[in-house]
Amino acid sequence: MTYRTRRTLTAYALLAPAILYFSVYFAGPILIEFWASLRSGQPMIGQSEFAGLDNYAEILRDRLAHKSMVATLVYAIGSTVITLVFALGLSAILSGPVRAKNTIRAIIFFPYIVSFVIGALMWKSILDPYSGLLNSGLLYLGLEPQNWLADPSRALYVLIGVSVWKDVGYATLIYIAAIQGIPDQLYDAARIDGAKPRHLFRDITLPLLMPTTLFLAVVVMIAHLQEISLPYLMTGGGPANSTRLYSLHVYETAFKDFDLGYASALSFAMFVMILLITWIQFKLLHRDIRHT
Amino acid sequence: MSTQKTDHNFLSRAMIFTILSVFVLAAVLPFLYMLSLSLQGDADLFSGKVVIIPETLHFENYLTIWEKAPFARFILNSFIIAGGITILHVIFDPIIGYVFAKMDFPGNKIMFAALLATLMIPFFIRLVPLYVLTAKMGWLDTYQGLIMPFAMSGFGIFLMRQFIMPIPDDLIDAARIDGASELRIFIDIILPQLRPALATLVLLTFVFQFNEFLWPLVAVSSETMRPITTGLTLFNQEFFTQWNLTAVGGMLLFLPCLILFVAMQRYFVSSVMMSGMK
Amino acid sequence: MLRKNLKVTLLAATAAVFGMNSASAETLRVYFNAGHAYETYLEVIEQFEADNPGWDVAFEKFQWPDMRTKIVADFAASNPPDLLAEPGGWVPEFAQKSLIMPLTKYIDADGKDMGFPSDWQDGSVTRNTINGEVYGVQIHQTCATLVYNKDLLSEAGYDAPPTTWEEFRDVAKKTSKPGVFGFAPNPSFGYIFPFIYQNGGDWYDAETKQMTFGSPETQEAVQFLGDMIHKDKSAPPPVAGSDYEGPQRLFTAGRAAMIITGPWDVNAIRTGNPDLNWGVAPSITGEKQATIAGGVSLMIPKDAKHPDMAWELIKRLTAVDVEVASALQYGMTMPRKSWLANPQIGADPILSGFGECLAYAKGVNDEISHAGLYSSAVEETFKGAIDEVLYSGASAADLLPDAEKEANRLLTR
Repeated sequence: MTYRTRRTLTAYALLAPAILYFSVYFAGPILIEFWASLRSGQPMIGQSEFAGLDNYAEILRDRLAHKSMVATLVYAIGSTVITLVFALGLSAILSGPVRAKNTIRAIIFFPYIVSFVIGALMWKSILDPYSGLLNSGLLYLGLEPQNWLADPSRALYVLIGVSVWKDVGYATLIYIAAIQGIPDQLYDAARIDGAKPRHLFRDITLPLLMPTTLFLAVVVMIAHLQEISLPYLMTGGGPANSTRLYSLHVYETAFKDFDLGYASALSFAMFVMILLITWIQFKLLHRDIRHT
Repeated sequence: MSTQKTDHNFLSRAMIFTILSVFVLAAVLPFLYMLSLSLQGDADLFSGKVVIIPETLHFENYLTIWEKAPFARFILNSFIIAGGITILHVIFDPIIGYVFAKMDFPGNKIMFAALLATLMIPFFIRLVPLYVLTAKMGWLDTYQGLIMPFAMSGFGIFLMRQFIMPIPDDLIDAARIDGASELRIFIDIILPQLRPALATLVLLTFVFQFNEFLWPLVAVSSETMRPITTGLTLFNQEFFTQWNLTAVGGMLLFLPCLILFVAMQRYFVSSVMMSGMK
Repeated sequence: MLRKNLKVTLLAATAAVFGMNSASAETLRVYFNAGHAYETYLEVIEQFEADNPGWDVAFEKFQWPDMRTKIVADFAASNPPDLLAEPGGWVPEFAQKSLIMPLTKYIDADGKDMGFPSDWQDGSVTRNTINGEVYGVQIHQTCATLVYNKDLLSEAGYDAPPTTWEEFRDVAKKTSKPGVFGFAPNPSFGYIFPFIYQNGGDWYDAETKQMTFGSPETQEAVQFLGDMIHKDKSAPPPVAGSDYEGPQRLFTAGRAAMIITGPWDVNAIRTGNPDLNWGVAPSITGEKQATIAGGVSLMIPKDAKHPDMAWELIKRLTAVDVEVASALQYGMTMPRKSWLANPQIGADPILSGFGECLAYAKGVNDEISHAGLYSSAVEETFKGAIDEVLYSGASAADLLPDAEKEANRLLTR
């Protein structure tokens, strides 16, 4: 047996539990969903018949799906970019000489660990047009109060803000962990070579954070493209469907309308879009740094 | 204490102070809000007025939840489920991440892409087939039925892979030439350097699973198997959420996560990095 | 004591790992709304268990949307409960999908003794009758009507609540002042319908099986509320969200003179502001007097393991003495005629106020669900257009006909 074969076998042996797990809990259910997406009636629950690509064709005509797709893209791109920029800045600050940084790190993580049901209620109450803190503050400053969540042209941006608030601690945590993983020697060596402190971050930290940035960009974007709890808890998708994110549309199709076939088709359409976006992210952000 | 990795000379202290203050303030708000809610009476909830500090502090809310429902059992369930899942992740995710990061074999890229693809289908779309499967296995209303669907995650494996990739190949290659097995390399060389990553994995997995709602909602069919999240909904009215009791439950969900964070915190700082390099 | 509890908990937890949940007794599984776990019902269940030795009732409580998610999964796995409560609209929907069983044989046997259907309000029976067979028994019946703040109205010079659209609009205008709205509308979908019905409109026509919310009557009703918000400024745009709490909170705080709501808000208003001087009025009249109906029915899934026992429990839960006791304790209104005729109910001004509108109230989804045509996509299409009028001040005449066309396209799917 060659060294290469042996290593391939080792790799697959180590992967065996994962292959088994993902086949049972992911591949199986997803294949069933794919089968359902080709049927009309009540696939999985009652009677259904083969419908070819009818469910997929319906997506092209589904106005609500189009509207929610656009809202979802705006929401996902907006919140991912802002979250990552903020997190990078915060982690840079918190990896440096800051007093009480352990406490600050813990506190910044609060929004992620406070039950989001409560977090959403808090924001609704702060943003309440009649009794909320935010509008009271605006009035106090002599500014015009705003209908934050009750304005179809603004509600989505408010949700982006809330999602950044919730996720920034989590992204910061991962960045800090990654910065801690960068070998000290690299910095020491650079200093001996006379690098200026301000260049250390740009020339060493930032490039070595690329795998982490890629990870976060991909994972946060994928999560945001599937966001459902935020509109579910804060706006119910309104007003005027302006915060009806795609997953909410799919969820209601599946569970309110009992239409698991069409809901599956909708999710596969989403799947293709997420796949495409992730592929672009890899092309843009992936650097082979194994040999640095 | 490790070397400072960023230097702040280029940013004024005042600016840093301002930035941190804004984020810290925004971050403590929900906690304070939850605390306030948890001490409010029903009259405060329904009054329609903004209550910041309740006139009477209703500490009895913290006792009510134990009387109204088997809350000790809910807490135990939450710990068993989230704890069990977290342990499985710590066992499986790093080694699989290592295989993807550092082993060349045919199918590596395809399988990794397939792994990422598992993240791209929303969970609720797998919910119905998963439920039917779990029912067929006879695992409804059992801990294994609540734990197994989350035993590994594409997220955790991807996280581990990204943390393992920057570890220099020279070390691994040297060990391979010495005849060390991959498992040995993983345990002796990779694992010691993964402490911050593992701490992150433990924290994120536990927090996420501790707050999981949808799967326990459908896979549990008796009151005694409910975790805290679905147990809390028992207090609600038809059209109202009983926010004060929900907030007490929120505190119970929050505190273990905070304690875990503090416990994991030291691993973010005291990583013994690259000791093998010298 | 605590230690003993802990021990029992741990033992039970260990048992759960090995799937050894107690199998000695037969279990009757019931899904109920968490807010409806009234003491009166728990007593009925206790008695039921006492009268049927060897039977356990697993009384599982959920919020409606959670129950909906769970029941979809349960139907897929053929693992539904024996008895299922629903918030309106599910009975015709599930009946058409053959997921629940007709109750004909039980009603033939027991109907006379229990007074079904003769003692139930007609609407509550027709709502649960599909193709001539009864699939559900109504247990709560509600309607939303006008609730008003007596002090705010008399301050503005009114000693009685409005009875017509014109009066309603005037009262709303006159009672508005800084910090107080004349009328606080509810963001939930159904709450535009009192106006639509009052104006002779509807969103669905049972005869043509078409959506008809583009009609002038419906346009006018939506525009009426839109004008109150944007022209009169006597009403705020409804606070977006999926909850019901907004208008009740404004009303309780004395910041809204009128809201439209049902008996479920009674306890919240009384608890939140015991001093509030308020009353329940008959629904206002446009072309006619009308409002929306709601309520809860009980049904038995087709795959239920113990349908006979489930029926026994239905009979006990809907007994008139249970209804009266629950109503008096929890302020809920009930579907039985003898309940409404009960002197104790008549003596309660709030309950009898909410009991009065039952006669002319109509369920928003009743007809469209009977035709098997309801879908959330159709609802959202209509609601999206309503929102544009209420939130952005768009014109109903511009938006509704187009939205109706889209909704009719969705119906043909």
